[in-house]
Amino acid sequence: MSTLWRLRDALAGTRRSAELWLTGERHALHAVALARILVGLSVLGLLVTNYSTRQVWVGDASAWAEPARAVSRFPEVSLLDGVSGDVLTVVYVVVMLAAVGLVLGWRAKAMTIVVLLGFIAVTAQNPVLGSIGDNLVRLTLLWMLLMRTADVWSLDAHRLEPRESDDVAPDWLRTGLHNVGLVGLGAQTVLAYLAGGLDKVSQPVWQQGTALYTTLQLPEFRPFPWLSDLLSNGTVVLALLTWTVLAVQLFFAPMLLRRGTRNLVAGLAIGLNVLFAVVLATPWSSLAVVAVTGLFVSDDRWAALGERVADLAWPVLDRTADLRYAVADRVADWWYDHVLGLWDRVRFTVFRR
Amino acid sequence: MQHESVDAPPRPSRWRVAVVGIVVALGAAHLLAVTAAALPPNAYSDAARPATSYLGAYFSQNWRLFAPNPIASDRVVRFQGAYEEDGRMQVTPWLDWTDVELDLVRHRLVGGRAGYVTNKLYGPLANRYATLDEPQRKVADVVDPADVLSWKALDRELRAGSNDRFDDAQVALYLAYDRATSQLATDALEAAHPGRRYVAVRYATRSQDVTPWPARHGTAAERQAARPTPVQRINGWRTPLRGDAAERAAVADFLRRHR
Repeated sequence: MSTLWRLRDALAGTRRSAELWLTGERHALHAVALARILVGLSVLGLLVTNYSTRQVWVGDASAWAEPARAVSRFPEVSLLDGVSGDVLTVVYVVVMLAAVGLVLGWRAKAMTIVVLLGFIAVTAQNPVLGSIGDNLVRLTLLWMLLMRTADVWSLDAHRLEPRESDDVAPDWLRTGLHNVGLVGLGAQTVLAYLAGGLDKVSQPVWQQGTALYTTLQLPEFRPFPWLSDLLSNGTVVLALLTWTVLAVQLFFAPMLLRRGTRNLVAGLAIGLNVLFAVVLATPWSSLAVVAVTGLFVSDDRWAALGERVADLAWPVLDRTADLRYAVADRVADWWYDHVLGLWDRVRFTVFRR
Repeated sequence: MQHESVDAPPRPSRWRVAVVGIVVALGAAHLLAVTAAALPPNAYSDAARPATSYLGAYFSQNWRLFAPNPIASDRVVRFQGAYEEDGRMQVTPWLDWTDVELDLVRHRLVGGRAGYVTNKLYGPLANRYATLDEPQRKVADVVDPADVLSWKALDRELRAGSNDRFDDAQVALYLAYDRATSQLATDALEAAHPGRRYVAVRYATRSQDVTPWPARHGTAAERQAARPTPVQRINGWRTPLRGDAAERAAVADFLRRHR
């Protein structure tokens, strides 16, 4: 009988601990804020660098992608389906501006929604040209809908008068949803590493340590040919790189269990993705991977890093304060005079009718 | 009898406990479904597929960098057009559209996605053609531009060789990609030779594996010579499909900037 009571007590204790972890405080606020910034930059970078060829990618001249578009399962595709190039450009620019808002943490929740819908609407117009980064960006933005991504390192955090309407749910529920989002995104990240590792480990080219050789020979993955040749011709370097990728992906999950190994594996994974961003010319995908991998680095480290960056940036910010305030005033004037004025005219016209 | 400390946190209300419990249960079930769907193909994930279908497009996870096998070949798509001049049928030189696109990504740290169009189109084109059986391929492989079929006639004749509705669906998919590529070919060829009106267009696909690992230390010529023989297929002639004015202008602009 006493065993049953002990079991019951243990279960109750676990439940209380889980509940306290879930609803007591918001975890990883700095890591989540960094993920918001990096994912925003990833979306912004992708859209900016493809702006000049957007009509071939997803616009008027992407008719050849129609067969794949026809079987897309994203309803957002219909938002831009068959629209003119001008409408596409407007939506495209709106998503870019929303991504800037997301990076700055300005009305972060609303910006997350706009970027999520806009990003899917744009990229899903051409499913053939999707990349691994798209999938990760979409998942991250989706989970971010639950999270408090702008509690630190954001304009929202510096707003003098938080609006009541921002916080309609009780604090414990908002905290709980944030932590659920964090666990969800973290779990999908771990799964991505694990699935990638399991996929690779059975293949001879990965076992032999030569898997990256072929990719490094392809013209589309050789932004710096001398660097690609340096890596692919050096047997030891290539083997080390290939096996490190394999080991990091395969053992990512178990190495998260201890703080020391957690920082090691997260640091290695981030380092590898930065390397691939340069060697394989995949900056935006790699940035998205770094964003979610950063969730596993301790929040204290990110906070300390943030303070160091702030210390370095402070003299520059101080010297440019007058200029920044002058620009902000002009933007605010323009916003109130033109945008809000126009919005009011539209609103009143609609209501009058 | 034990007394609760006055400093102890207040007990959460029952409905709060219920909400937390439901959220945790739903979250755990969802993550289990995601796990089943994300793992490499296995019998358990197959068995769980009915329960994981709700994941749909939004939660599906497709992030397998260079897995299981990295890409190992150059893939090229080229276009050629046939036109009448002085009463005789002429053909244009092959236009290497992949080479045009690669200008957008070659030696660039930040390339554009439009630089990978034909690279990504290569797979569906090869796969769709592979679903046709021998008699259907004879219909599809129109070798003389003067014998080009209308799209309607091509569709009818390919379906005549179908055995069932599954075959019909394969034909429809083949034609969907065939039409899309022919449209890109028409726009690209018109941009390359403005003012010329084509009676037929066709495309060719070529894939060549990179220099094998053991031959990596040779000179550039030796490395090139060591590459396996390319696999090439020339598709049949097709009736040109012109895009609308905006589409043609965008393709022409792309060609002008990246030729």
